[in-house]
Amino acid sequence: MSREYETVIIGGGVIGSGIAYHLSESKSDGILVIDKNFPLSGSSGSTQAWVWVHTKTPSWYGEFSMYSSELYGYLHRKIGDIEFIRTGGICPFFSENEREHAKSLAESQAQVGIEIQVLDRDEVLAREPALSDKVLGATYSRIDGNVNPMRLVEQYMKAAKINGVTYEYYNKVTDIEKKQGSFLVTTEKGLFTCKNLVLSAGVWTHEVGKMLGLDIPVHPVRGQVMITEPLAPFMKYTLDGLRQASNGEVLIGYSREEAGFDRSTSLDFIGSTANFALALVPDLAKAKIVRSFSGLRVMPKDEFPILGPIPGIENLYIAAMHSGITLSPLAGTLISELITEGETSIPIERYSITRFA
Amino acid sequence: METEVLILGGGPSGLAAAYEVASRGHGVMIVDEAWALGGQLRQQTQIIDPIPAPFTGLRGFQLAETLVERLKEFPVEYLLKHEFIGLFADGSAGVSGGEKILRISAKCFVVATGAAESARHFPGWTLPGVMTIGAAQILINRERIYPGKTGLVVGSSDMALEITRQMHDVGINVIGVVEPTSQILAKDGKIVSSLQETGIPVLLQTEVVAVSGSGKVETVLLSSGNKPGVETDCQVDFVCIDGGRHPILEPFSIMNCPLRYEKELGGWLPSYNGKLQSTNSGIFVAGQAAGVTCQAGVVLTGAIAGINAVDYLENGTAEARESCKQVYWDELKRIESTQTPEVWQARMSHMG
Amino acid sequence: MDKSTIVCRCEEITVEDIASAVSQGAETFDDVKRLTRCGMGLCQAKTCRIVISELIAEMKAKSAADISVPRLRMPLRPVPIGVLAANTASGSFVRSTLAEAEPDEGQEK
Repeated sequence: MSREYETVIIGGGVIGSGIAYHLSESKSDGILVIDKNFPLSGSSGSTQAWVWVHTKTPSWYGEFSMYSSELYGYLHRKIGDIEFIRTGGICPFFSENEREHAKSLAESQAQVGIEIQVLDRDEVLAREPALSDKVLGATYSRIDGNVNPMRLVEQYMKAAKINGVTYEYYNKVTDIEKKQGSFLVTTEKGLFTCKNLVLSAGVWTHEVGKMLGLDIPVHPVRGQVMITEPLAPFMKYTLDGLRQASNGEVLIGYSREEAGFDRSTSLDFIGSTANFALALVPDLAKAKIVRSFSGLRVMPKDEFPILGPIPGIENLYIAAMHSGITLSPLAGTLISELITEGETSIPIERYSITRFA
Repeated sequence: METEVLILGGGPSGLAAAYEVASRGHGVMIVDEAWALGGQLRQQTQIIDPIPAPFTGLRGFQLAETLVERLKEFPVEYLLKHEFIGLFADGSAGVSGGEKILRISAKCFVVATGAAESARHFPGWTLPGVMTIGAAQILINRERIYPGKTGLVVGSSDMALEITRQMHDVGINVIGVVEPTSQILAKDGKIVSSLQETGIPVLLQTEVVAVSGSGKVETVLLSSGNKPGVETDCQVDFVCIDGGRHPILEPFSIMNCPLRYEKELGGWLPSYNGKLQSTNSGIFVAGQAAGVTCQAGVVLTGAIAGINAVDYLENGTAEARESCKQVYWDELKRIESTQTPEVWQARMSHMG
Repeated sequence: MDKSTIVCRCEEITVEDIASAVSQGAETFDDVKRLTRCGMGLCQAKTCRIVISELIAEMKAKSAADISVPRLRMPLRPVPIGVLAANTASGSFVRSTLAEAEPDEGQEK
């Protein structure tokens, strides 16, 4: 026996749950989220969770990230505390060529309204005294911050459920078919039918796409992060590469490795990242690392989000991107606009999957 | 640094494994986080029984000394006060003595990292004065510190009753052993009668409702299944928890060794075959890490793992080694299947 | 067990916190960990793994064998960053996002 929904969302991570929540704000029922595990077990739960804008380039992508970041200011009022803090973001540099690079970044991002200050050595040390005194300067933008990714996804889920959204956990989608205007979604626990289908399965979007005969160019890129014991608060800003969480832990590193779906960590990474951390913040030498983790970035072929309708199959939508934490409020808003109104409040053609055709 | 066999853990099983490897002329290095070898034997003052022939009549710490002593004629390398913290991408081990990370490449590993005690939880268990039974033994026998003056033991395994007796012997007032089930869990009749001699009562079907006190243990509230609704106050200054033991899994987890659940072996543990070899082929499992068992089982699995590591190095076995292994397996079977038949059966089923 | 009993002492997580995560649909130790932070503290679940797994099993009416072991991570003991950095090549896994940023130069992608 099949169960009918108006909209089925495959993948309940930060993007899928973000879409479920935003959609449920305007359409109170008929929404199902199917997750093959439990949300946060994939990329959304393994991240430094910056809400990050100022180095996102080209500027049109920076602008897109900025719009999403602006939505964070309201999100906690709607879904509850997600420990979002607009700390401001600092990217320190240690060579003079980088100063030139920083200046041209500031100019280029200014065109779309992203304010970046290029700080000299004294200015950056005055802002963030924990930084190494070898620093020559930094880019700084007030727009950047960070969030607790576990709270974020949990609150999206809770708010969505209050609005009537149903979740299926530990249920893997095994086949998808489109028949007479309906999607037939076969899962390990039975069949679901729906009018609208959203693919937001993160690094598994490629696998899900194959069920519809699509070749969605998304692959995993591993990122390892290591975490200190809780330290007394000493860092105010989100630094390029590390940040202190509200519980005092410092999260360090963001490797980029082609390792397929392998989520192991290694001492090679840990040692190298320890060096990186000391170069940035020498006072961390005595801080103990208590664990490391690795996550899989959702990496589209050209690294930009794949977002919007999938032409050729009516009522099929995709939302696959890295930086899903930063982009989730905007992705959620845009996909629910598409589903409810058939158009979006800002143009998203640039992010269409058709660009890969 | 380089070695042929890297042994993680210098307790009885690691030492037994090292002997089998070193005495056959292969290089071996032992890493242990403690400053002394011997592992948990170091605070065992009771005579270890049963135990294979060359070690009969020894007290725990003496067995440790003997296992260490017989390695002295071989060039075994030791890294004491060093912790195994992880693996590099090429499979070499990272070990830290507190200053830097040493990188050790080895042809194979014997992982003899032992078991940890499981906690039991009740309101107040985090108060100072609540400790595991094993921690109490370390305090008394190793550190010569009394855990308290008047205490209560929760749980009735062989280990708990043995240590309760040791507490009694050094003059600590143990007011009772409480056991939530309807029978004493200890299997060794000698240990049970040795406790009975002390007059310390074992309160069956009794549970700890809560431990309370201001900043430390002062009162334990007990409820008895025999008298529903009646709760009894006891004034104590420490409580020992016997929650059983479980194999330590962290090393296996990061070495990508598949795990399997065997209740009688202490819950989750690495899968291994009849060579005590993990599915990850360069890794041999020994001692409590291969399933919670008696000291004889710990020593014997260490020895067997050690010989199998030699076979691994030499790409095949030899008749002498095979017969030696057979002797150890026979001993292991004899002892485990009489002492703890369920452990032996679980081990057989675990090896498949 | 009393609902307010602490089960993860590092993070002060109670029986009730675990129950709340389970009621949201969490099934494994790792699921519960991500929602509550149990087992994420200094001991990295060394103290609480067994009891919390048993608690989840009980709440889900499953056996302990059905509750998979959480991911256990390096370093296996807390190690100071200075110690991890000593003796390690400084070749970096980490590239700065500033270095990776490509300011517009007339050409649109």
